[in-house]
Amino acid sequence: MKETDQHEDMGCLEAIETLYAWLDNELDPSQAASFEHHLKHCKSCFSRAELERALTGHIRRSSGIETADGGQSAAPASLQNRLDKLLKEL
Amino acid sequence: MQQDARDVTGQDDIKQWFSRMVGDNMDAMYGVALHLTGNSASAEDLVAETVIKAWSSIDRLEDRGSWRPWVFRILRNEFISGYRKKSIRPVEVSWSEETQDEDGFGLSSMLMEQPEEFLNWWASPEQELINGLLGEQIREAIDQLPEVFRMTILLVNVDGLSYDEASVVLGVPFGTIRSRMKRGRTILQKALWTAAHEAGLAAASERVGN
Repeated sequence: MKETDQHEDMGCLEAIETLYAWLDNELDPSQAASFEHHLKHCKSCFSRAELERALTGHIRRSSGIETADGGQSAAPASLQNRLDKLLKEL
Repeated sequence: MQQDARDVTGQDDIKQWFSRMVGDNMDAMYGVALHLTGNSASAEDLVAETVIKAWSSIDRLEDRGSWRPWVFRILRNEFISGYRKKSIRPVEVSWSEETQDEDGFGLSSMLMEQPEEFLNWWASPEQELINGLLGEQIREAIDQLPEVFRMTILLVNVDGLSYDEASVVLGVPFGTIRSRMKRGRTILQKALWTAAHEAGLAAASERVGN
């Protein structure tokens, strides 16, 4: 599976288990570095990570509320106006 | 997005800070409220009620750096109490998350099974056509996910909540969110793979998981 495996810090099995937490920015820096190191040396896992990253983008778009800049859904102007008024009255 | 309460200084009083936090997190609050309530009018009401409740409870926020999970907890409580007032039960989330899915594939990840055919299909030169078809297929696949997985994926992947924040909103431990993300995404992969076969987008010669 791996093209080179000089680094024992993470194998493919662990990388696949870690993939979703990495995509969701839930790894601490050392875990993320270890995972990304693995990706650099494993074409197969790199492809899988890219596939899952693409799926995450599809999920956002398919839910129909991704903003043009790829951010989160935008609150409608009516809510913004309502909260503006509400906050002024606090 | 989240602003540390340490930024609050003498010239930046608590009300200004609170207003700024509401403004900075309005989209995320609305997204979560939309997914909980299922309609925009109720979502707007829920966010407004949450802001009012949060302001009235601001003295109880001990660590202002934890504003987001704190306000998401209030939002969740307001959502639940709103349903109680209407004598309607909120979405039931009691089904087992330990059982196998029923598609016959089991829950081991397609990524684990090394479906080269699937990887090749995804990287197809006809990506644009496939992407267009996938939009509808992904919507359907998400809609058909068991509710616990669907909601968790929407909160994390669409609303941008951290696992911690999603655990607050859904009232489950952090580890459950992590587990649901893996299982939910795995079910989604397989649903898409099946849909691709049915749509003739991938060769039917090898059915992954068998």
